[in-house]
Amino acid sequence: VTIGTAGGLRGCPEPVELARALTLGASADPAVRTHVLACERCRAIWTDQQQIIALGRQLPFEPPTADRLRLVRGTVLAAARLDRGVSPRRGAALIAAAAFAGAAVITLLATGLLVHRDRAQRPSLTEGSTTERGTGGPPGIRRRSPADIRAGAGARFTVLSGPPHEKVELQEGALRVSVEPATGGETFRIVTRRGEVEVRGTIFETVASSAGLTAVRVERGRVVVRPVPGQEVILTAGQNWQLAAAAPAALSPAPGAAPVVSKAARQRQHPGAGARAGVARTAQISGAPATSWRRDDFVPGGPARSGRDEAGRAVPAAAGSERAVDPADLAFGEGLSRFRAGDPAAAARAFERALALGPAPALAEDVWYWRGVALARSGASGAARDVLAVFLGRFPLSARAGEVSVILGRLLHEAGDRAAAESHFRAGLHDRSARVREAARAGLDALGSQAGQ
Amino acid sequence: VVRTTSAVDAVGVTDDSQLVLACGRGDGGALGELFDRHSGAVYRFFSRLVGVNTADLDELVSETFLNVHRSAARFRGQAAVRTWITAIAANVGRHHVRSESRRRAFLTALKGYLHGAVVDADRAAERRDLLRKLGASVTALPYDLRVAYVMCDLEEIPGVEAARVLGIPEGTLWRRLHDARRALREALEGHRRS
Repeated sequence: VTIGTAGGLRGCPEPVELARALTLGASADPAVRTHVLACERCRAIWTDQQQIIALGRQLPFEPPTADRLRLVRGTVLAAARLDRGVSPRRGAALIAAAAFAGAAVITLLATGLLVHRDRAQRPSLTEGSTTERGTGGPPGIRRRSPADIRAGAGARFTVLSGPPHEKVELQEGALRVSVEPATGGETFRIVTRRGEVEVRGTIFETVASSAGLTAVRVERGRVVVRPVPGQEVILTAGQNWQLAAAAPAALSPAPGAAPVVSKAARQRQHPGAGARAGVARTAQISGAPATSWRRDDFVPGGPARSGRDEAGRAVPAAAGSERAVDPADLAFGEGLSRFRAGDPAAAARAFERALALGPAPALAEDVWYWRGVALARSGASGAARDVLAVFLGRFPLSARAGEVSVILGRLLHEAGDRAAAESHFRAGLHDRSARVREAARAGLDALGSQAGQ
Repeated sequence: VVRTTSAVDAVGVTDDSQLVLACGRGDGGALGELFDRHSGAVYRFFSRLVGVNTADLDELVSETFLNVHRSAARFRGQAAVRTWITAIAANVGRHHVRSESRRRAFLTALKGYLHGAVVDADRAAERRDLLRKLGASVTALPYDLRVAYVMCDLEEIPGVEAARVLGIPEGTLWRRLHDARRALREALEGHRRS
């Protein structure tokens, strides 16, 4: 036996081979095992790594309690039926009020909000709109897409590739896309026949014609616009632009459309109007070739919402800009009105719309709560149970968690699931509200008296 | 909480692969059964992979099984169901650890641990200390190394299967395993010296 360097034998296996042999154990290459027995250095490595494995297997693990498992299980099943994620990432919700019916535009919106994967089952952007989508992406287990794509009327698009470098080609129509903040080199791009937009995270929206990019509005974060290959313009929070020369007549906004589109329409009707005084400098570059686009071509303004750039610095809204009305807020308000008017079924539908629009985090809890209550009040007990279970999964620390537990307990009791009902009533026993505690005790009493019969 | 009537229950299917297929057809009962069978392992996987914050674990497990539900139709049976679910969990965990706030919180906690650790003369206490240090060192590993170590060494998923579901060459997996073990050994050596 010849001694090699560092105390090892000549012909020591590569570290990778050692790792493999250690994992495979008895079925490892006999030559490697024999070598390890003879070689002091390899034996030391082998022993060390065995200790690391053995020690790792002793890492403490406290299994979840039955109640926790039951709660999480219920949340998963309810969310699966509703096809809604229960991601912990709850960023600010922002929805473009763009209902560009018949327009050949893209509306692109990036948020740090929930991830919805099954796009086909989600509500489309507008009534009667259609969605066609490709099934691109690598085979095997796909990473979760950070994007949520919704199609406007008559939209046709193809998902050319999946995460981490997602690429969507728009052939025709309107798209609205929510994208998680990009991390770790992930990218999301929408390409049109000419020009593309690349998401650099957080919140923005883009309007473009299918023939080329037309307008972009950034709410938060950063967007890279490439009107033609080799040219890039980076927009940050509060900025937007519009290429009037390329803006098709179809950009006329539907009622409630985003301000950027309203401005576009005004610009077309009154070129130069509002071009100064900080309202909306003209974005028109009529007749200018796309290759001449400059940063100055973009209209500062857009919604009055403040934002933060990628460094987390607050970015004030542009002076004189208009404030976008959050359609999720509107839908929520409509739901409350319907509920107060004694129409819980219509209220539940309005709350469902609000959820589909991606409410802001502060609003989301209210929407989920009221949707569950409205469904329960309308007699849709099964759906109410699902929604309330999702509520408890998503907002376990909510001040309403106890109340929701008791409501869900009642619904489960009615459905004959006594064990689950009891668990939820017990969860309400320690609520800060005496009314909820009383209701929880009443629920348990009802279960007890029923059991005694 | 919410039980469903499942066709899978009705025919008494017990094979994991068939449960996944049923799940891919939208059978909620199959998803529930998969949850019942594998959620414990997924909890353990995450607790070793990212630490033991209870609320985070619940969310990660929920997200994993929702992804199981969404990906079930694409399951081709190329790996054991448990391996497949673990790979999904690994992807979910990747998003989790990318959160800068969580990373900062972890680093702060680690710093506090390193400064506050007291080496007890008692062997049992020392062992507990060593395990705490190992747990912290595991979660400090680069994510890919961590996944390899937890999947193969702790969860004992065969390396060939792990490489397949992670979409990496087998050699890459062995390299990651080796690097992970070496990094952990060095971390513990430092601990012993201190």
